[in-house]
Amino acid sequence: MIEVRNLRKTFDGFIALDDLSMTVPNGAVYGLVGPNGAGKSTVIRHITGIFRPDSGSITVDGRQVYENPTVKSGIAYIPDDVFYFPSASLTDMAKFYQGTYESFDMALCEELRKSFNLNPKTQLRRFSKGMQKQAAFLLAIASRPKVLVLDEPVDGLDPVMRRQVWGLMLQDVAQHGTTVLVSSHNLRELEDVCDHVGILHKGKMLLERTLDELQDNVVKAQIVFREGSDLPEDLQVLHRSSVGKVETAIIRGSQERVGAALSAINPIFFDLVPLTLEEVFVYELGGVDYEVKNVVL
Amino acid sequence: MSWEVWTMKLKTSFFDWKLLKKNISRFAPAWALLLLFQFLSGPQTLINVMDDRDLEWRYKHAVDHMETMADVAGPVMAVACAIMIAGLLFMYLHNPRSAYMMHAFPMTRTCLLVTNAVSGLVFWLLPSLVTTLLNLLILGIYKVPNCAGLAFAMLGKWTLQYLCFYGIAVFSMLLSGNSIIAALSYGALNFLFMFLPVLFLLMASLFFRGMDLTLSPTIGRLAPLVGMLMEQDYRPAEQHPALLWIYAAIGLLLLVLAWVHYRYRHIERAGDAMAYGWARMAFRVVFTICVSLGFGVIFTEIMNEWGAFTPYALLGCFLGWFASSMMTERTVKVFRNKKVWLGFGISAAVLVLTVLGLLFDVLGWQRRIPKAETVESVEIWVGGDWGEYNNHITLTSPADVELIRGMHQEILDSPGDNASSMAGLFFRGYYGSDAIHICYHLAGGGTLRRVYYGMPENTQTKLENLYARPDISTAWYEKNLPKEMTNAYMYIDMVVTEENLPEGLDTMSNVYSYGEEDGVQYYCYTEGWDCKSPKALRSAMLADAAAGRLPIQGDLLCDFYTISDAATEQNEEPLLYNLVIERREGQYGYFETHWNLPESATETLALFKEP
Repeated sequence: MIEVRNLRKTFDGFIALDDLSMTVPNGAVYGLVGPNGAGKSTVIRHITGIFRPDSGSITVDGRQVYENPTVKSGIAYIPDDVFYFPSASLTDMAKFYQGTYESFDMALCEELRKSFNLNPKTQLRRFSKGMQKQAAFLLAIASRPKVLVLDEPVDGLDPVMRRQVWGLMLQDVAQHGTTVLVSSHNLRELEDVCDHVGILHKGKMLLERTLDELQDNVVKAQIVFREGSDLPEDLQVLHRSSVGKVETAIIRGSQERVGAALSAINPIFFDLVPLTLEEVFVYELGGVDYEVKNVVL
Repeated sequence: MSWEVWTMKLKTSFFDWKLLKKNISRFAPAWALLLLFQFLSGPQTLINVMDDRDLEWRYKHAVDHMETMADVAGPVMAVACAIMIAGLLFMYLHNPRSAYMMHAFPMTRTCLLVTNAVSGLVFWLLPSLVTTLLNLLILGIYKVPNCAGLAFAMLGKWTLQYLCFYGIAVFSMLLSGNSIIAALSYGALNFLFMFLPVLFLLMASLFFRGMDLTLSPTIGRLAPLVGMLMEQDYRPAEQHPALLWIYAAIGLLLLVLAWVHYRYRHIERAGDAMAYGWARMAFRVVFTICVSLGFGVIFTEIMNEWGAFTPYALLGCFLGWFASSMMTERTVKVFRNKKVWLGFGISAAVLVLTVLGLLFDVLGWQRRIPKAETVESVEIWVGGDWGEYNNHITLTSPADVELIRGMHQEILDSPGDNASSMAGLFFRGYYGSDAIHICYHLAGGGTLRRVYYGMPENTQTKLENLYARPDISTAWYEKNLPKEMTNAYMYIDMVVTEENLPEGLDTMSNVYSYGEEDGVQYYCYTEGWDCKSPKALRSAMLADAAAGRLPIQGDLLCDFYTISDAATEQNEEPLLYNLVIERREGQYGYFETHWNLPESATETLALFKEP
């Protein structure tokens, strides 16, 4: 389990992370979402032991990460902008990883290389950005980590390759119970793979839930009211719009509670639809005076 | 903690063989190039030096060659290779992508630094060892005695030299956030501690009346490369035997400091000019001082006007501060930053206050004359560098010390010289013929040195009288002449005119033998010789020298040195003959216009005997 407690980080006076706390349970696929500059990469660089926190703690299974090779040997990290030793080939890097990560599985590495169809002798810097990402993925997976940390992992990959990469990651989770922390702007993709979501905004954790909790907690209701009736006042309406006689309301609360409240006013018609992660993200953040359109896509 | 756990931690925390191996394989071209370079400058040239001459000749030239390799080629190669190697190994710190990747690996920073530092030492030591073994082989083939000693002495020196520069280079890489600034920092750390005192001395000389610009060897030694090369120029007695070890220890200390800093480094500083807050401020301050003083000194020299210093130094201060701020802030928009303006204001104020402080002698340094009871001795000499050989005298008696103090006070009370009147402002002190140097040796072991250009007329007269005193001349002779030449000195070369009579002598006829030979006039101040034939004197001395009765080491030429007196300066025909002995050492020579004659120089001395 990854636990971040009261993490604070400043860059020349700019507060990048402000008293941030988050928990990634073992075996979870945790999606870290937030707009540019929210602090996603900064959090990740703390969790991977790259950055030294100003204050607060970052532990994996109860042990500090910073300057702890034992813990770090169980963490594999794929940055948003991967780097390899200049002039190194995939084989060179695999050998280096093999010496660095005790659990590195060379056979798996070779197997993945073949599935990605990457030339082992070509210098990695001559690969396209997408191929370099693939190489990073296979090196990380072959390291057999307990924790896989991915920063914008599918940026630069074509749709087919994205699907392949996500599939590979989920397979690893299923087979080995790997804990995955992934940051991404692409909420639709995260919705497919994550079971936990944390939303970052200006260095703070706005909310942190399981995807189910998040989606169960907000519902979209389409209602046709009888003359003179309206939504019950005790419902917390995040957003409301209408097209003709059909009103659409985003309401905070479980489907059962909202359904019961709407049944009580006996509308002509109502229907409850679960929100996509993207919609949850938009309406949740809308409440904190946030320019949501810039956030989502 | 159990032994197993302790050793496991050591294994994983301090060194990583895989990384070392990776470093060696990654940078194989670099150290292979280094090996080639060392081979070309070492064994390859050694082969050229060796030929079929006799063993003694080969040994002498092998020693010369190995010493040159160790003491000259070694520092030059080490200073260049250290930054190149450190750059290759620690450049990952200067690129965010590589910095993040390297620090995400399961290695501690200590492990990264130690492994990379050791890699850098291996890069140098491996080729050096190969070069040494090749040297040993060549020396062995040519049967040069003590070949192992020669070869391994060179390896030892190379290692110490490299350790010094490598420590500086690694510290520079750790200190900075990008490679260009790292290279600048490396240059600065190598030369700054010599360069800054020189700049300060040059600046102070403009405003500090009496400032002595003589640079001591210690200042040169503050720059390791200069210090190492300088050792070649010193006579063995003046060499500092532990200097190389001290430099190596400094390098080692900097490696430790690099490690301490690395532990607290913010990796997000990759790409910044400097990686630490104190280093950013230090960089700004040092850069500003250098640019400011540099501008002031250069433009003062160019314009030959001391008043130019302050405005140009202020301009340099402005440029230095804002340029360094741009570099550390990584933006050109520093003019909007009030803190940067505040920093410039403080820098400019410090500069102006320093100049004013020197100009008005706020601390009283310029007017300081040591109290008589605190002075053990005082040295004076007139003129520039050459003067030290000719009129450098040391006075110890209280009366003489008081005399010099009085003269010193007279100089200070006079309007005095002004730097603005100087041509070649900063070098006048060194080469100017009108400079009087005063150096008080104080009871506590300290010294106080002053140099003045020109002096009041009555002080000038006192000085001339002082130099004309026979006991002063005698003291000079006794101090400067070889000990084996005693009790036989004669004033055979003192050029005296009617206007320049020694004390106690009324007319020249009382003391000089005057004569004329072959149409050439001569004067000789002697006792007991009528000096009828300068040619005879020359012949006698040459005969004594040839017979080894003049115990001079090296080649000796005894000759008459022709000079012209003031009245006939334009006349190419020599009027006066002054006897000198010219000693030649190698291709260089110098004149000793005063000389004692040993008792063994019988032929020469015979000329001085009473007829």
